[in-house]
Amino acid sequence: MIYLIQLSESDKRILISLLLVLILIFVLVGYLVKLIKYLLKVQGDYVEKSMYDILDADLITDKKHFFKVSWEKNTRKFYFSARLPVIILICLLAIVLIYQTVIEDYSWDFFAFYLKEAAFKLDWPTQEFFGIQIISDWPSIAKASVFYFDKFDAWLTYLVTLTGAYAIIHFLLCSISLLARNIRTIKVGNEYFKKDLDELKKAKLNARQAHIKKPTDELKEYVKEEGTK
Amino acid sequence: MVDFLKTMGQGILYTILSPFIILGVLIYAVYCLFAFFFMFIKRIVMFFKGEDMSVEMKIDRAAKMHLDNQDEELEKKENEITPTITQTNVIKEEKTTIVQPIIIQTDEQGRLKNIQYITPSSTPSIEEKKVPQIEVQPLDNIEKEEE
Repeated sequence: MIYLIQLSESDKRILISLLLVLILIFVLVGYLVKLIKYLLKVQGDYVEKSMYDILDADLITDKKHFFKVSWEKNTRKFYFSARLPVIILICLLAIVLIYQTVIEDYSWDFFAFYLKEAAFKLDWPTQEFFGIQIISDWPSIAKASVFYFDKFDAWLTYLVTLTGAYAIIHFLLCSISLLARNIRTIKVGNEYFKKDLDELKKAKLNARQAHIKKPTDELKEYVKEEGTK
Repeated sequence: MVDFLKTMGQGILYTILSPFIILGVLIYAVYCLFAFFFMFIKRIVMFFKGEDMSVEMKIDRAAKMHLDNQDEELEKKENEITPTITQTNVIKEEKTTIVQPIIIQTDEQGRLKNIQYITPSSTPSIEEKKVPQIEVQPLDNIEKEEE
């Protein structure tokens, strides 16, 4: 508290704005996590959908077999969904290699150059706050993006970068979906084939009591009236 | 407010854990790449064996067949009961629509000789319905001719 009292007015403003920015970031990350969890749950539901008929027909009776079939199904599903990004990546790699063979230059320097030129640079004004340099204002543009639309290798760089980024993100999403399905498989398998002693006891008791005749309504009434005598 | 604080708490937790999560996802993506190529090779092998790899496996087809057979058995059991009900309905209909058949005998000139009424001894079955058709002249015409 003593330190806060010692802060100047501008320091307090900086501290409050910093806190607000941090809260905003954390809340956004929290909602992003919620969204990802929901998507993973939707992907995980595929396990129930794909294994329902098999378990309904009693074709799988042990946990090991269940895991084996479900993992195979999940991997097949992943294979069919990840075909597109992998094919795109292979095609892009082939295009770049063909281009490099044609120009007889196998270095990736042109790639680095055009990407560096396409990137922009911001100059963030900073201020010292208890010995730490923190951002104090909106940034100014230090270097603007430059695009070379008249050159083939520049076009190739932009195409490969954008399409490659899409393919990599798509592939990562497919991987995460596979992970979600496999985690769900483990969870569902363990729950379905759980050896619960309480459930076993209940089932046995029910089986024993199956032959016992239930008391009639007249008997119940008699017990109500005369049972306490 | 509590939900907002929970969301923010999750945000703080996952911001701290994010480098490890990203690392884990990247390692898993590498595993997935190997899994993809393994499945690709497996599919080629299956192709040359004359099989086709699809999302639906053999066990799925077996399960579907098993469940369909169960359904068919249930349908058969239901059908075994229904014919008895329909049969009784048919008999009832026969009773209401049946007309008592008669045989009219005439001589060569067309004069009436004998009329025979056929009374059904029991409830007619569906086969009994096929009574041989006899050419019958209306009674009024025959009587007029006699006069």
